[in-house]
Amino acid sequence: MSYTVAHKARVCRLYRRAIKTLMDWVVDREVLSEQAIQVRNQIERHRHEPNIAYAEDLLKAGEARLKKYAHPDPYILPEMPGGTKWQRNLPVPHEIWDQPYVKH
Amino acid sequence: MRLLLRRPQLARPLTFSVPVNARFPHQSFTVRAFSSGGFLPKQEVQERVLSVVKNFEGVDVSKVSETAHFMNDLGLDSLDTVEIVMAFEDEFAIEIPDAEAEKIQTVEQAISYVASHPQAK
Repeated sequence: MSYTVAHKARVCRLYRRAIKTLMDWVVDREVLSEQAIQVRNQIERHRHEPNIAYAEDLLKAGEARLKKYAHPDPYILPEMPGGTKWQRNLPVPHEIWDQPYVKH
Repeated sequence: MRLLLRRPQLARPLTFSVPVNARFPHQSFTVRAFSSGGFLPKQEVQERVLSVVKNFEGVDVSKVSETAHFMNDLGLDSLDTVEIVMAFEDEFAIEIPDAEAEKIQTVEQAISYVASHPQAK
């Protein structure tokens, strides 16, 4: 009896999204680390869950919970798509920065 | 939560020095390239990726190499791998899409992903 690759991938995806969602809600890094440890512990508790059907239920519950806690305005890094600096900061034209240096 | 307890330190300062130009040889100065995009040099990416991996809790520093597999060689589990990929995102200030993040399983893959990311800093 073992879990499928797809199941493991779903757990990993759930863990990653859970931490990302935490990052949206929690600004303080120390509080974040405490909360993240709790998330990890919740998953670790069922690492060797013998009942596959129960594990499937747990995973579904986790995904539902993730959906419930989704942030309405998630944090996006400034230069990533959707961020405040996305495609805003165009390179300075060559003619401007390559002028001879004049000391004032 | 290992990665969040201790943020990986920036292996590289936020400013970098421009080589002394022949036009004004008496001057050496630093520039923050706010606008210039472009890719990080592979050598630098490699050093910083390796330093992130070495600083990750539970990793045996002597086993870290450019070809190491997180799970097979470094003894991490799949959840640790998720954390270490998020540590790379932190270090280089990028957001890796979930589908791409799942494919990063070795140090080599991490280096090539970051080196080919135009916004990596």
